Amino acid sequence: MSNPYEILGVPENASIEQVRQAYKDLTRKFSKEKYEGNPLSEMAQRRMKEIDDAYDEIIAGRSIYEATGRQSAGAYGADHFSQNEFGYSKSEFTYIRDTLNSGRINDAETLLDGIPPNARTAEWFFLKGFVQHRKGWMEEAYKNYEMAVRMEPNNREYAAALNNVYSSRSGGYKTARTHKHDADCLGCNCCDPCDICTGLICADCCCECFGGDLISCC
Amino acid sequence: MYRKARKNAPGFDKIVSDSVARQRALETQSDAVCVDAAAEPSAFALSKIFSHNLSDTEQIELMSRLGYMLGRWVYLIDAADDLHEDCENDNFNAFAPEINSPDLCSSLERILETTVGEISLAFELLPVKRYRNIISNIIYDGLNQAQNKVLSKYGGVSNEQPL
Repeated sequence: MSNPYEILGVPENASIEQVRQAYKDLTRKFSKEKYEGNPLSEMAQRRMKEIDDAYDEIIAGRSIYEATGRQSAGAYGADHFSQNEFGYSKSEFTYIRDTLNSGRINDAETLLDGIPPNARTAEWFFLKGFVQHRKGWMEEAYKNYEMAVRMEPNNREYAAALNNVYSSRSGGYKTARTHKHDADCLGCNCCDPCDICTGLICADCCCECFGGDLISCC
Repeated sequence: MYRKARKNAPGFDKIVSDSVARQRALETQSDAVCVDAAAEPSAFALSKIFSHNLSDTEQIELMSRLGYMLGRWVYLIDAADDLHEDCENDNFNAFAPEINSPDLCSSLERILETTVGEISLAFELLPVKRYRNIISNIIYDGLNQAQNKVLSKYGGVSNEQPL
């Protein structure tokens, strides 16, 4: 396992209060609510599990006097199509749901598009919206979720999806800024941040090709 | 310079040229095009550029998503910026069907902010440490400033300031 202090972003001599605050900040950053219904939700859940394990390991290593009890994080539940979370029952779309759960988004969309318009139920519109949400087609996803909810107003799964499609607008963008970045920021053990800068510069060039300017200083 | 760029980043020229061709084809065909479809070629190209040469599946997914949403945002902010001019010159614009709508400004704001929100969600999951502050500033401040400048043309700037 990686160094738990690194995972929480605190020095090894951090106080319990500092550890606890770091854990709280990270919990807020990768919260289930923030990523609910988002294509990256499973990844966020895995990240949160790493953070929970790191926190538990640090606390277990401190004195009993210092350590505080913490309720099990297990709050994430299963993925979007879990029976436990939304209790969906088998339907003619079960195969399509299985296809989506295995990550075959394009195959699922082909299957959905093959269903004639007069056979498109609320579940069809929900699954179509899900496919579009995964692809990044936020506006079309919203329209299809909205239709699903209109056809079955009491379906919790459809209502949750409709609520979540615009959740990134306020939950992700606005609150992420509260995270205090480590001033040292040394050592990148994964993807090269130059890839991101390169991409942003490419985006700026693309924008300028169309007459705009993404990054005004270059 | 092109030869050097092609050597250092093989495949990038094809990604961009394919995207430009798809974009042109989409904007000249006669069927109505939704906003998501209009942004797709540019978004797809940047998703490929961002995830180019990565091998870790999680990184590929995150960088593809980040690149896709950033490409989508670039296309849409440009469309929002040029909306009136494009309509006057009868040029394609993804937002043209809404130009006379009283909800135009709020619609533009919603679409752009949701896209930036998605950029943020992907970026926060990336374990980037070096230069994180610089990239954060671009995403959380730079994009917001560009958005506010464009939206001010339509009488609206979001009252919610990024923290």
